[in-house]
Amino acid sequence: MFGRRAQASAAATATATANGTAAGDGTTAAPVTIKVSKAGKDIEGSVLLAPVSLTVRSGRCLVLRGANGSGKTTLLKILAGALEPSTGTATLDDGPLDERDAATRARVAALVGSPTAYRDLTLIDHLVLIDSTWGGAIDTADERADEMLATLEIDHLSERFPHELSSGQQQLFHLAMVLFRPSQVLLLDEPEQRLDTHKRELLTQILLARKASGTALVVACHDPVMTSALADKVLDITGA
Amino acid sequence: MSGTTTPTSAPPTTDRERLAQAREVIHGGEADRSASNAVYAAYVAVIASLVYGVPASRAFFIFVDPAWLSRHLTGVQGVLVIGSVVLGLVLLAYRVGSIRGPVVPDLPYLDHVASSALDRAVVLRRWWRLSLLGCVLGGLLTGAVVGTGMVVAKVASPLALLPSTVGGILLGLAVAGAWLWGQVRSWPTGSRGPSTVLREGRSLRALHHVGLRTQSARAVTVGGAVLAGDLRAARLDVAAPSTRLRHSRLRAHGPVGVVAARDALGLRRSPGAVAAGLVLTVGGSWALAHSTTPGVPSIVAFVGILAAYLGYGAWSEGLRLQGDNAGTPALIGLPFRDEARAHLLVPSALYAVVALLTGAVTTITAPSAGTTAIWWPLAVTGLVAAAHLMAAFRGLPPVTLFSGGSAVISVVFWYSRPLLLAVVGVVAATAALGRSGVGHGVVVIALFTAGTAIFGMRRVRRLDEAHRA
Repeated sequence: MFGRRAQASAAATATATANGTAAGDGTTAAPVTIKVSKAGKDIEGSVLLAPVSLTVRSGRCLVLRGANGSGKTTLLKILAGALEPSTGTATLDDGPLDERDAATRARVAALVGSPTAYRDLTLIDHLVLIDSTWGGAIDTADERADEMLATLEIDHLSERFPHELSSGQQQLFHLAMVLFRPSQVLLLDEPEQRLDTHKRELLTQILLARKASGTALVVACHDPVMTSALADKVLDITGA
Repeated sequence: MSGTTTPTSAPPTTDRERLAQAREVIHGGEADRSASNAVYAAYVAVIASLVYGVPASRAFFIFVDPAWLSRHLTGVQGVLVIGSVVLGLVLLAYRVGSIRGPVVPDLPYLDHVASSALDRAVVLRRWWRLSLLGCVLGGLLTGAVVGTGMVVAKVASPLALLPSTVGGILLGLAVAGAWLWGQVRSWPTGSRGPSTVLREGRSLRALHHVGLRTQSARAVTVGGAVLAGDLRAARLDVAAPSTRLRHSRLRAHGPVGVVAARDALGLRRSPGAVAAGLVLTVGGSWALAHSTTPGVPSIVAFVGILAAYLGYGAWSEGLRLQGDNAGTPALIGLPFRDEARAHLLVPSALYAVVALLTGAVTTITAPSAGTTAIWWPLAVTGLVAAAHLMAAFRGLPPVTLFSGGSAVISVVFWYSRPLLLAVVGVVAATAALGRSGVGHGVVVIALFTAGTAIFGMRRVRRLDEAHRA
């Protein structure tokens, strides 16, 4: 039943394993480069993103700034391979950037909008599920999942269901899921949303650690403190 | 110099008078048309029953072999079948009452009138009586249509019209009572015991403002979702949140195994879904096993696959949740198609075991059933699974369906395609089984299974890629 896609699935797992990306680890072996060249997006004459170019390499962080509706989320979707640009190109290591491609999915993790959550699974169940589908070590899955929740200081919520969380706790849970899956490129759309000052500082430290371990970061952010702490480069997206 | 006097009306003194004044303000001085709207709806229902209901009922009784029906719906067996149907409808009404009861005024009315010091029984009476009238009229028309169909098809004498109509009215009354009681008991505290059943004043006073608000808001959301053809939104809004077995952890497995383990844990946390699926699958498999007996009408296979489809659906929440969340950035390491296939494992395994056991028990207990009855319910597993794959990933109906005069029928047909494929496939295969032999029946079911599976996997791919435009 799974024969036809076994190769693709194995490729994703193999990529994650070869790069040493245990869940939540974020360490990478081979550097990656994500590149956008004059990429823009319009739908039936309505411009969602004016043409923009950028390059982000492993261990670097690009912060996207811009007014509401300027196209930051659209750009992040293009970088996630979830949306095709109308003009220009977007590549990952000079290859196609397409989330249908197992290699892209294995390397790029994104928090753009609300991610999938099962209403009949607890927080810890979600992390174990994600870890297992990425081929994480079965014996240590529970410990690593607990550790990820503890890192974001939501370990006391591990046995809650998603609908039992406050909006800020939901944001931390979404971050936990995205940070927990293996990736070499991390795309975050306003991760500071609904977080208090302490949690923003905590998140900044986590993202700095991921950057130091070699993850390429692209973050749309409205918080000047986080921006100055994280950014190697800031790209101001002008209105479409 | 003569002074002018303005006639002043006496202030309202009773709750009824106060409510009448409030309603006058709400309607801006214009006449309240809710009563005339209800009369018009009843008029349309009566016309529709005469024009469509009676011919359909007659066709049904002619289609289903009257002699076979007479044998199975009389005596103890008949009492059991009719009693089960009535009990099922009453239980369903009770369950629906906890989601959307008979008393659901609009939100502004609830916030500004129902929350006042007026007697809640007076304030909410109109909604309850309209619902009660609808249930009783519906029961009356159903009983009359069924009775008339039997008479016209010459299955029963004209005297059967009287008990069928009276039975319909009583059924409507029972459904209305269970519906209201379900709404009363949806709030965990207060007067909610058997003393409130069909007691208008007590029931209406027992309804909590927050519960009424929740149901009213849900009715708006669900109504909008249905009008937009987005039944997924309606389903997600109606579904009860899971809170059971929070201490039971999902254990790590391989990529496919963990998805199956997820579905198994989800079912353990939803015992109601497990029980409903079991009852429906056993009933459906029992009917499918009997449908292989020579002389049994095709309606048995029809009812069997309908119940079996619904039973499988009760166990397929994981599959539907994946379809609901299509288009969000990947968190799961499996390719989308493989994840969909993995979600079929648990419901298919459960279904196969129950179908096989039911087929075996039917063969042992019913001497007329041949050996085919053992494996025939099992043989439809693939088709039922493929139909659910189609259903879970059908997405939203195309906008073009909403244009033109037949939008409702088009959208209903669009939604029903998976079920229709399963029903047509199984009824045709069962007919081929009886008339042309086992080989032909197996070929028909295999063709339908393959076609539905291909269509289902196409839907999975399309939904996965739809967001890339």
